[in-house]
Amino acid sequence: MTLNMKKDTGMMCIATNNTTGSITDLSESIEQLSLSKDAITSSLDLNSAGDRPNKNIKVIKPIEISPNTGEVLVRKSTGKTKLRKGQSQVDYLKQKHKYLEIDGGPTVKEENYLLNSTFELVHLVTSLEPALAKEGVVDTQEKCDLLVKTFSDKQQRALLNYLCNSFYYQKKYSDCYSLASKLVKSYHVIDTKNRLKKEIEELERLCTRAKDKARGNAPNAQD
Amino acid sequence: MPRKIDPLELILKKSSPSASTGKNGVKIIGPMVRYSKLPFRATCRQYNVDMVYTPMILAREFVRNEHARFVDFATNKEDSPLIVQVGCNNSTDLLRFVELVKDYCDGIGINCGCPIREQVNEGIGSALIYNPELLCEMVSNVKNKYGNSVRLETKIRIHENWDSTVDLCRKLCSAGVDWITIHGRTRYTRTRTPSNLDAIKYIRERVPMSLPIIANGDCFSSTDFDRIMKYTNVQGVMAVRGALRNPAIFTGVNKCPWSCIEWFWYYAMEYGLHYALLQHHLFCMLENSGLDKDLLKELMDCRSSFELLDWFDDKFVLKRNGEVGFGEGVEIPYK
Ligand SMILES: Cc1cc2nc3c(=O)[nH]c(=O)nc-3n(C[C@H](O)[C@H](O)[C@H](O)COP(=O)(O)O)c2cc1C
Repeated sequence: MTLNMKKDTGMMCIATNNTTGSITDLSESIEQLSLSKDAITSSLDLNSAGDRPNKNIKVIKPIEISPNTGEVLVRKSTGKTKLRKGQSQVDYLKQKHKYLEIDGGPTVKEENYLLNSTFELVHLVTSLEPALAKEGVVDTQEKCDLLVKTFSDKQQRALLNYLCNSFYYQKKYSDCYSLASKLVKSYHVIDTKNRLKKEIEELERLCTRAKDKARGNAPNAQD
Repeated sequence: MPRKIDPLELILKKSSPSASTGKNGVKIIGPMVRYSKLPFRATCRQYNVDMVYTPMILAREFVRNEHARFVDFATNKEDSPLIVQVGCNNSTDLLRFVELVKDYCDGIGINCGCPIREQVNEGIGSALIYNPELLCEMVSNVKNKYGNSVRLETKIRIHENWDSTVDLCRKLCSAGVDWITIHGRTRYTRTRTPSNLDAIKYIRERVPMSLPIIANGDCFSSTDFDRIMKYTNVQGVMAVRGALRNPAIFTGVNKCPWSCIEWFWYYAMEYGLHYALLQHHLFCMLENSGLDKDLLKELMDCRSSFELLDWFDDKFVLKRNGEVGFGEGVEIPYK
């Protein structure tokens, strides 16, 4: 007697090819049968309440159009196809050079990462501060352009925001106030379309709190 | 920043019955899109974990786009052993991705479990377990090119028919995969349905023992870790939601100690973290610590990092790094 597992279904077929099979054969077979019980129930999906069997058939395989560029055709469940553009070897080599040779790999965040990575930005807002006398006004177009160029990058603004919060966390309230207030002034200059309204408002709230704490007015200032 | 740790050796050592220490299996904290960023990984590394994953990074974007590279991957010397997880649907993108990250991590894992329709439609994530030819081709292309200098894992879900998973694992083994993580749910199983340990055990029994298998699903405590190890006879266990709630999961404590909160604040403020993520992590940890529902609601009402900090300083004693007792507390230190 042999037990055959039917591929893909996990169903067990018992085929008797020896009518005089020994007791040992039989018990081994029964043991195998019980070992395979789970496979059977799984294929029948009796033990997976909440599952939706047979949906897997719908998984659609992407087709690689151009093997050396990563161009693939993917097909949506609606039947529509979408072409995902490839990347030429030349472009990849450019990206690789930039990442590995120029950037030196991923961003390395060690202690004082925020201070170090924003050093030039902080220097810039500090140097421009005298020119930012009035909110929303800067004395030369050149400085205005420089601010726009620097702070249009969301990522750069995020880093500076993290630095302000980091000062606050370290209870360096004066540093926090000093930086946040300069940022508020700079952002006012570049925010002609009111896109940074939320960021500016948050920084203003931060300024108020940091100033209070720096003066020792707030309940936790001495903590 | 070349890496020195071989994750396969680590798994074999930790799971070897003859090892004098840590023979109970390798303890892994697995990938979570959005959440497994550096501050969280650094926090976990304070607490007896053997290996930590990055979130899934899409190879396609990473190899083509500088901005994606900046946002998706940051690391440091202490961030090791580290497995960088990748989502991909073709060998070209994968090989390029591997070339860019291999020297900055200890291993690379292919996500073959993500059930999100958006990814599955692209042939990424759990779509790959139904496309063994492509998956095995990707694995063998990487292993043929790099051999043992790049360790490659696949994190899969089970099929409704467990024998299909056995078959897939055997094929992956022949393709040269270094180890496989099995999440004991199918592509359609909801998280409220328990992870199927019987399936993992079934597969473990039928795949060569020389290929390490890591079990994933529903490990929320050290007791779960021991139970899963024993029941399935795998080489290690990967915890994910359990670690989000309690990064100290593998130290034997059953609720998130206060020290985790202090470390997490420290790393988040040191490396920078989006406010929504900071808040979510702290919510998960404090809920696990047993913080009262009303206070959790107050936490969720805070709108920015500094407001949240004020709230913490108002309610609790939150030590900063360098202060006596920082990162040592267990219970919530109410004021
Ligand atoms: C928020 C969240 C994000 C996830 N992101 C990923 C991911 O990026 N890659 C992946 O392979 N699995 C991902 N998963 C699945 C987990 O890695 C894991 O397989 C699943 O949660 C089961 O493990 P657990 O019960 O220990 O949470 C994610 C799960 C959650 C809850």
